[in-house]
Amino acid sequence: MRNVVIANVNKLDFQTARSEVEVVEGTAQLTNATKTYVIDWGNYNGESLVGHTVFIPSILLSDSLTDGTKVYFDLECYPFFQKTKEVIRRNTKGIFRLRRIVENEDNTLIASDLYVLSTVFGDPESVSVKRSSAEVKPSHVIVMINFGGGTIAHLDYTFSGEDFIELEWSGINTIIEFNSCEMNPFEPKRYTSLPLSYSVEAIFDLSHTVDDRLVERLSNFHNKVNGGVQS
Amino acid sequence: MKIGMMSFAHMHAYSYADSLMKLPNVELVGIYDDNMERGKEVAEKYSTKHYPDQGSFLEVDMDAVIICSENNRHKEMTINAAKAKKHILCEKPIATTVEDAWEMIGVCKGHEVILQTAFPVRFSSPIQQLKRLIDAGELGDIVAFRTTNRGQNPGGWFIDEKLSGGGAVLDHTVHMVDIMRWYLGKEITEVYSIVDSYFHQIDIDDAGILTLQFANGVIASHDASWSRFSEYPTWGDVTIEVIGTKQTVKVDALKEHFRLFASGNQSLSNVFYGNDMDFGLIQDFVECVEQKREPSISGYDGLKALEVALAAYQSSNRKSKVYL
Repeated sequence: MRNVVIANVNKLDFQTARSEVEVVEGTAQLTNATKTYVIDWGNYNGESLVGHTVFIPSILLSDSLTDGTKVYFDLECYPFFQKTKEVIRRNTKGIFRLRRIVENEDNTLIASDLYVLSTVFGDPESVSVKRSSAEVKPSHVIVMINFGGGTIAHLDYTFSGEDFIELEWSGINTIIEFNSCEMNPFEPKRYTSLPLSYSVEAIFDLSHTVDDRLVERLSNFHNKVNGGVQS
Repeated sequence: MKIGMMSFAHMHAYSYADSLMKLPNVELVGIYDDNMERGKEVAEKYSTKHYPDQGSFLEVDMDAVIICSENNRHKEMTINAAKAKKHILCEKPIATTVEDAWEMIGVCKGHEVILQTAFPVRFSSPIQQLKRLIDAGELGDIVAFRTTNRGQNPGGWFIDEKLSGGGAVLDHTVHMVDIMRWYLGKEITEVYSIVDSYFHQIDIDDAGILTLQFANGVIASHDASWSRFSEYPTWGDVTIEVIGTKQTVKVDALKEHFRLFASGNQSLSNVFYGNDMDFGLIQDFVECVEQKREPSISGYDGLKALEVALAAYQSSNRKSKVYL
């Protein structure tokens, strides 16, 4: 079975890939059994990929996908997030803040981030969502979370412009500060998508097998983001 | 102009006194402090007279006083100073209850003296520059704010609720609420928060996160804490990000620094070289008294900021939104 990765190709770091990876435009080009194929999510129309091991981003997860598909979460795949997770897990008491700017408004992204954070802090005790006025653009969403056990979080999303992530952790005698703009190794910054990119191996290593439990949990977070608790 | 200082319990008193020393037209005529040791020490430091008795101090001929006592004594000192016809600059938070703040405002109005709240962040150069950009329409309409005010645990009376009225959330919410109100010209109508003690083994809150909504629908998140430890490269931060319909702009009032690396427990220190906002505050207050004008930051501004901070405690206790 071939590995087929549906991804935003602009986010993939091909330089550090260990596998042989080829970007293709559609399923007709999946000819080599040992290669890893990447289809840009803009070109993926939901066509059947039965017979392949498919890795799909959480924001494209749909009911039509069969059990056994692999799903990956954007936030979880970033190398900086993996490193920060290692530190935070030593003592999860504190205040977590995440600031994201993304181009397109997408509640699925927020639900996906909640899923990822729940793997670090456990299931939230409460989630409250505050949205800016629907009449103004860009729209902004604030998510306030109480994970219980002494962990609270604020997530801020603005839907406008280029991807940007700021992560802050105020823990017990531990502070983490990450800013994707400041940590860009290039100047001028336009020459790289680093640090907001990840390898296909990160996708392989960090993807989750789609099953009823995953779908239900993600759906639960989706409901919370869409006002299931309070707005 | 003759100015006296009432109490050096709050550490800001030192930088305010330093600022007075820099103003050629100002004389620090005396310091009232019923902590004898501290009072004598600071009077000697600033070459002025120490008054252990408040009544005797207020009989001295002076135009204004600066109050830097424990929070729970702001009301008593403000009312006594107003009755003695002294103009007043009162350290934040203006009081420990909204009712006390109203009473202070009323007494000052009745005795026709100025009551200014000490919010020095308004005099930070980048904070002022952002205000000008907003007023010039460079950001378009404001959609949301994102603010932080995180520092070290000051200890002492700050962590005694009877004296302070609240912990980190009271201490570090009022500044940024004031800046948001100033930028937007609207009041906060809804507060939802989680407040607790996370970082220190103390009986008072040391952190809180607040989600706010203003009367015109603008939303905000605020992070207030005493989460910074002594080895952290700087005292803390004061930041605001304004998300506008035209662009988003972020300002860090303490960003202007160079990095100093040295061998030792604290290998990295951020050395701040930006403008002295405390001096800006004192200079403004002196001008306000001289010109007999309305204060740039009123007692009411102090009250409205206090109201939001206190609502945060209420919200956290109830686990529900508080509407103002």
